[in-house]
Amino acid sequence: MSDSSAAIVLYVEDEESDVIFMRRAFHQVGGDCKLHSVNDGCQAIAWLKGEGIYSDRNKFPIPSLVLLDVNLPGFSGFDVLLWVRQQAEFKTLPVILFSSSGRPEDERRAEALGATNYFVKPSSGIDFVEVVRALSNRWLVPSSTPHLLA
Amino acid sequence: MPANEPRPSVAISIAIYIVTVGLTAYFRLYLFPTEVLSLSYGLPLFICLLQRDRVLLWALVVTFAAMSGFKMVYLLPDPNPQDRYEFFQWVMHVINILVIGGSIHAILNLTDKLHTQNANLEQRVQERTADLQESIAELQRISYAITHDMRAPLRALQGFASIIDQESRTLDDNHRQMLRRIGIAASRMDKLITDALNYTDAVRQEMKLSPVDCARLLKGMIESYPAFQPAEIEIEIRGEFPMVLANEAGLTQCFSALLNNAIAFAKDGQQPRLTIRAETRNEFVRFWFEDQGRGIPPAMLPRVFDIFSSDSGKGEGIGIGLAICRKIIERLRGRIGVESEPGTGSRFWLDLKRAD
Repeated sequence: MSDSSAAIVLYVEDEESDVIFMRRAFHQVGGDCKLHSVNDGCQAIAWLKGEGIYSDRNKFPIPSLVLLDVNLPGFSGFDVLLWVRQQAEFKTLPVILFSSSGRPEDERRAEALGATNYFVKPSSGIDFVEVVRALSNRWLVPSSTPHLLA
Repeated sequence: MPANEPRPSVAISIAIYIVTVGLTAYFRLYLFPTEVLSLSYGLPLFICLLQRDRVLLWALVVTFAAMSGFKMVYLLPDPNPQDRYEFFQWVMHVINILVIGGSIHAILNLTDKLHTQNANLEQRVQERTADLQESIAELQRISYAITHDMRAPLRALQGFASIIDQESRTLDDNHRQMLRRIGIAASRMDKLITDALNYTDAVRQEMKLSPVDCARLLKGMIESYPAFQPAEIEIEIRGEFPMVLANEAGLTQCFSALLNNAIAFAKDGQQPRLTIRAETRNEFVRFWFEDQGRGIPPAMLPRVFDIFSSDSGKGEGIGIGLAICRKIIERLRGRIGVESEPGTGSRFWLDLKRAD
């Protein structure tokens, strides 16, 4: 756990532009939140495990929220979510799926696998600020983040 | 004998053999007329056909032929004309028995062949259906992946265009206008993709039927969708709406397409106006969506419900909305149509089964 009280978000995304938009959005409306990103499911799992280069927790802290793209190379977002929920220490970690797909079956699958929420990606990158606002209001206020309390 | 059919029971076959041979012998001993005797051969042989039992068939044929043959041989040396006539009768009996036996054997062979061919055909149909289903599923996966992946670059296009537009201090008006066009084009393409996804969903989705109160559904939509609020479109829901048998999610999509259509095809500079009413027609309820917009040219009328057919009202890819609408109504076992006159407006109607 990082010594700072600010929320830490791990964004798992392979689309470079989406990462850029998310960084901008966090910069604009994310307050003190720190955004980290990795670009596939394997790296996300390694980060959470603290494996290899990710063992340095000062540099790669355990996130207080994971924002997970669904269509990822290799392990999909669903695979990562499944793994996360199988780990006792991450049972309550908020994991939000963030996908271009608004298909009800994808949302149902996310829910069944234990996702905290499911956000459909806005059609324009500039609207990522709305997503960050929604995240800030509900999950990124330190006192209301279950994992930080735990 | 096809593999899946049970073999005839040996006990039943033996029983049939004993009973029929016994009866035939009894008829013969008590000198029944030969017509009765023929029947006593014919019937047991026919039973072999029903039993599909070749062993029983040939056991009976040989026994009956032997019985008649014995009588034939017994009468042979006698020069008496009456007996000679009888001799020929017995010859005919033997031939009859052999012909009937042979025919039944041939019928059994034919039906077996038919059974085998049917089974093969069934298997082939199943194999091909499975192939076809797999191809369709594969196509769906591919088209989904393509449309899905196409949205990411469009999101980048729109996003970066907006950022430059908002933050650049050096752009002149002309270039700013071009940048906005990039954003609008990307947004339109994105709308087309979501519409195409919605269409395939409308084709695929399971639609469970339950009673729906359309007036309540429409009022809910008008209240919750910013695009359908009074500032954007004036909607009047007139009269009573009987309950219909439909699917709420499907109908929401369909009504939304009809409402969007009324907005897109309003006359330039005029507030879109739509009247919705219902009337009962036998086991159906007909809903009318009447606008006072630009109307549809007669040449376009037969194609308005086709996918990507219409030049959309305001370049928003509405061409697919009515196609989705028809697909849903068809899946709800209803009907949809339109009457229109250019310059005065369109009247869309849809028939749905009454719920009571």
